[in-house]
Order: sequence, then structure tokens, then C-alpha cells
Amino acid sequence: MLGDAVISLESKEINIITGSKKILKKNLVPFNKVSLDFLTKLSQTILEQKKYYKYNDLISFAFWCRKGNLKKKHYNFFNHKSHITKGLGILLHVPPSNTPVAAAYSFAFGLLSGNMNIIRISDPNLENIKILLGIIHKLLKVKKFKKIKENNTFISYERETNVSNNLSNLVDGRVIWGGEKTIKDFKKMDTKNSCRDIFFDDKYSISIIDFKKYCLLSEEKKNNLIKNFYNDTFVMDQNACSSPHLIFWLNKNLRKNDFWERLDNFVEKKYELTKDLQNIKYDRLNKILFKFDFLKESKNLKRISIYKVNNLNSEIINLRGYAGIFFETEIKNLNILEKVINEKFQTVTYFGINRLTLENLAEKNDVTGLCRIVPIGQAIDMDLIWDGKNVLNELTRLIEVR
Amino acid sequence: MDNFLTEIKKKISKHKNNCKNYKNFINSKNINIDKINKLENIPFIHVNMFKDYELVSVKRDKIFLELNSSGTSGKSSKIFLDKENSVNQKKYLQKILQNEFGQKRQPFIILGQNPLFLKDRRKIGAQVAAFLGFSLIGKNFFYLKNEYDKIDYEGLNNFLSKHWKEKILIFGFTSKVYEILINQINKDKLKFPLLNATIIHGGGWKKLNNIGLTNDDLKKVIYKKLKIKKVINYFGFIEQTGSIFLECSLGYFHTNDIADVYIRDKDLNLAKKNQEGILQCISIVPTSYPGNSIILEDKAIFKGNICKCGKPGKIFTVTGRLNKADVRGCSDIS
Repeated sequence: MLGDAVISLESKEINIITGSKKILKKNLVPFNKVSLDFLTKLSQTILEQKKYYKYNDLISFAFWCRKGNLKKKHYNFFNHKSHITKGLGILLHVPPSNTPVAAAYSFAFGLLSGNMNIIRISDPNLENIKILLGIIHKLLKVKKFKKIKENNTFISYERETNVSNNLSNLVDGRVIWGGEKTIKDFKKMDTKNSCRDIFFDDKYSISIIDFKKYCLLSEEKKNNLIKNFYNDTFVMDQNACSSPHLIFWLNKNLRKNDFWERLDNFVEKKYELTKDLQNIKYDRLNKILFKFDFLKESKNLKRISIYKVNNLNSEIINLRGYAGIFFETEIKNLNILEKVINEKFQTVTYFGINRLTLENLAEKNDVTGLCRIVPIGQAIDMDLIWDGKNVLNELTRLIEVR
Repeated sequence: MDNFLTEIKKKISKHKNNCKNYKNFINSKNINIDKINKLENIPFIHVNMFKDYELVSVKRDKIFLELNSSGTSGKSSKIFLDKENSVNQKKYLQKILQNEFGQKRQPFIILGQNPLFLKDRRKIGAQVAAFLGFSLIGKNFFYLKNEYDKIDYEGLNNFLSKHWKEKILIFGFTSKVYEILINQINKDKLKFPLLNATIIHGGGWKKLNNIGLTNDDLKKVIYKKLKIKKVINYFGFIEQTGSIFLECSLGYFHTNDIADVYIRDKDLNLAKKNQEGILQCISIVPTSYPGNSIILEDKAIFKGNICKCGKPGKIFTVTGRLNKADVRGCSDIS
């Protein structure tokens, strides 16, 4: 057939985990019925099983792609479109290692935007990944999801091989998550002229808390804020790009701050620290403390340690905690943030600050970074607008008809 | 013990004053070294710092030797030695070994090749450093492998013909003991028995644990094949070369005058007796780099302050390595 393109994944270097060996390129409509049905079913299957509830990240994903939520997104998407919208074709997804959620969202982004998807799984043996792929594998056998099976595939391959390179040559779009080196490597690869890329590169996130407002909170509300802060940070051991590492205290006066003690108590109850995690945690902390001369330990609690940043400088983006290491600094007003924020900044989570004030800050000409400003508790809620990009727009093309 | 604490405090103060990175660490943690009154409160640094930073606490031009870890997983440690540190390593190691084996040097078989084949003596690996260190209690050295890495039976028989009635030391890495003495050596080609030999080995159990072999198993197979009764495991690592812990007849590592240990729990507090924790080692040897108190990536169990074997020192066992695989996050792909 004229204009048909097929990508074959049959190669010694590629291990097909589940899905099709060959993908025939088509341009599907975003939010097509079978894709919506599939994601809805995936969501249901995960949420039905109590035993999966301990995998917070998997559960958040399942909640995100439940029927009602996708319906809303579907409505919003077409409500503003005056053109015909189609998917780009075949996408290559390279999610970050060791985080099953990112692979799941990446796949969902691809499906919802009307694309066919090749998703590279860096470690198929991780527990969360195994569960997710196990469910997907079962669903793909269902007759009504035959189309999904034909159009999508989860693969694994060694990073050192040419597979990324070869697939990059053939696909219509790439969704690449990773650190500086990974992004650079993928940028160097040959792609079709029409290939569209989304790069989710490594970013830095912070938190701003108005201390006066915090002190006015009731016990219950304080604890609720702690819980939200915990969810933003500890669910992925502080490794998510959108988890805050550095907390800016506004209006901090001499009154005693019990925020960290409360967090420490909560962490002790909820977070399973192991010797293995402690090893990585202490290694990370040592690396930072050996490097910089502007830090002072302000709290060393049972499960968390807090270091005060004595002078704000361009190195602060290297202050990345792990499994309970945070950095803090006091500021008189938000103006200082104009100087601090740069293109490496992704999410600001906040408490006690007027949303408008933060919007004004983001609108200032000198503020060259920032992708998200969200209340504490929503740091890692992934969505179709992510990392400063409207993912659906990036992964679709428009056909103008007059 | 108080002298030990004073000695450690003196050394880490010097490191703080002369090594910028170490100073950053001590200052950030608000540590006042003078005020430390218990050994367990001596700050410990993560062993990986020797991989990430070039830590030196003497003038750079005083450095005359650089030790490198074998680096089985990625980056390797770099340890910088000046004359003083290097001399001390030998002095202290000799002291520890003489306490165990006596003042008299013993005929010495090395399970490996002669390090003189090496080209760059300024950069020496962990294995060679260990050979050189243990050679302090040996004489009439014999390298069991020839320059083609084959067992030199002729040389061995020649060596044994002279020394088989004496106490002999056989030294090698744990993995080599298995590889060479269990797998490779042909007993029938030996013209003399090894009855009087003592095997000293160290360097890690990773390879043997992978094939399911424990310390006890190793001792048994050695006895079965070569009739050697005395097999002593030692625990040491390149970041604290010069101080080692020797295994006693009951299978426990003992601390000594040169080096002490603490086992820490997942919160880095002291672990209870018989509770598996993370191993921290404290050594008085390092002077040209801040390596006196280091927390390792090894799991260990504190077994008590007194050993039934009668030898002095705290006792502990090393139970394996910590697992570093499970890192959740979105910083990079692999």
C-alpha cells in the first residue's frame, strides 16, 4: 500500500515484553474509544485489587486514568479545537529507570493523543513494573483490545545497543525522560524531519511556606499539611523531579518551628527506611556536605535531617535530598526568588501564599524557569500538562479544513 | 581506650584543618571535635567519598603513592599516601600480624603472580597492596603462579622440600583460595604435604557467596583436599590499609589496638548485640587522608565485648553487602 510504514521490532537485541512485534503506522484520533476503554479497564483492574494499594505510585496512576477523569480531559480537549486533530503516528517512549509510573503515564499520554507506542522498559524486573505490565499483558489478550495490542508494544533492550538509534530513525515522535546526558544522546540521533520530540529533562523543585500562616493552623490542619508534604516527597524517596528539596520559609520569626518534628513523626510511622536506603541516603548527604561550605545542620531528627542554606547561590540546584534530607532557608519576601529561579526549576509547591502573588511572580520577565506552581500535596500529580508542555498538543497534528 | 580516642581526635582535627572537603563536612554538621568524649561519637564518613573526591590532608607534593580499589562496580576509590602514612601502614599491620603469628618471619606462599611484573609502581591496586603488606611477616617468598598465570609445581615442590616441616603461611584473596587451591591445584603433583600451613585470606565473599559457599564450607573443602586446618579470614579494605581484623578460631573478627568497629542500625544509631547493621570502622592509621572513621557498605553483626576464644577485642561478623539497586526516581535512565 502506498504510504504505509511498518516498524518491525524483531531483532536479537530487543526483548518484547508484551504487545505487537510489528507496528503499522496509522493516524488515530485522540481519545478514540478503544484507547479510553483500555485505560479505564487498566485503572479498574489496578484499583480492584487491595494488594496493590501499597504501591502509591501505581494507585495514583490508576486514579488518574479512571473513567470520569479521562472523560473530563476528553471534553476539554475537543471543546477548544476547531481543527481535525490526529495522532502523530508511532512514538518511541524512553521513560526514566526504576519508576513504573512514568512509563505508565508516558504510555497513557501516547494512547490518549491517538498514537501507536513503543515503550522501552529499562528494568522489567522491578516489582511495580512487573505488576503493571502483567495487568497490561492480560488486558491485551482481551478481544476488544485487539487494536491496542496491534498498535502498542513494551520492550526492553540494553542501553549500549543501537536500538534507541535505530528506532529513533523510524518513529514519528519521541517521548524521552532522563538526565542531561540521556537527553543529549537522544538529541544527537538521526530522526525523520517530521519527528516531534518531547524531552522531560531532570529538574529541580522547591517549596514555599508562610510560617505565620502555618502557626495559625489547627492541629488537624497542620497534620494534614504534613501528610501532603510527605506524599510530595517520600513516595518516591524524594527522587521525583517535582519533589521539593529546598524549603523557603516566609515570615519566619523567632517562634519555634515544629514542622520538621511533625514530619519526622509522620515519617517514622509511614516510611519504611531500610539499611539499604540509609546507605544511599548517607552517601548522598555526605556527597553534598563534602562539596559545599554554605550549609549548616539545623535539625538532625530520627528519620530526617535538615540543613540550612546560608547563602542562596546558583549551586542550590545541586541540593537534592534522598529518603529524608531537606534544605531550608528563610526569606523576607518572594522577590529573592526572581534571582534564584532558573530554567532548571520545575515545580514550586506552596502553603499560605496567595495564588495570585505566585502568578505575578511567574509572570515577571526575569523569571526564566518554572513549570508548575501547585499547593503542597500536588507535587507529583502528573497530568497532560507536564513540565511546561501541553503533552496532547505536542503529540498531535492539526488538519485545517475551511 | 582513652588514648585511642585522643589519637583519633588528633588525627581528624588535622584532616579538618587540611582537607577542604572534610572541613565542609565537619562544619556543616556543627561538630566540635575537641568536645567529643566517646569514641562512638566520632563522625564517620561514607566510604564512597573516596570515589567522589580526591581527599588529601597533606600538601599535594608530599603524596608519593596512590592506592586504587579494584572497583568491581563502577568508580574506584583513590587513596593518597605520603611517606609517613605509608610507613605507618606497614608498622601497624606488622604489629597486628605479629600479635597473631609471632615475631618470627615464616616461609610465605602467595596465591598469585609476582607484582614485580607491574609497570607503574605509583599506582598499585588493592591486591598488590595487600601482598606487600602481609609480606612483612614472611620470608623465602614464593609466588604460586608463574608469569603465564599457571601453577608453578616445580617451584612449589622446591619450596616445600626446604620448608615443609616449618610453619608456612599461604596468603591470597578469598576468591583465589577457592579458585587456585580448590579448583586448580592438582594434589598428586605435590611431593610434600601442606600440613603445617596456615592460610590467610581476605578481600570479600562476593564470588563465593554467588556459588553458595560459606566460610565454614570453604574451611571444610580445604581440609578435605589439602588437610590444612588453620584457615584465617581477615577483614580489611583499601581505605584503611594498615589496619585489619583477623578471624579467631571461633570464626569472629576481633578488634585490636589499631582499629575498632561499631555496627549501626538503619537510623545509624548503635545496633544491639546480634542485630544486623551497617559496619563502621575506626583506624588510627590514616594521616594523609581523612579515613580514620568510615562507614562501609557492608552488613555486620556485633557479637559482644568478650570472646570465648580468649583473645582480646570486641567481636563481630561480616554478613554481606548492602543492596544498592532499588533507587526509585526519575533522574535518569539506565
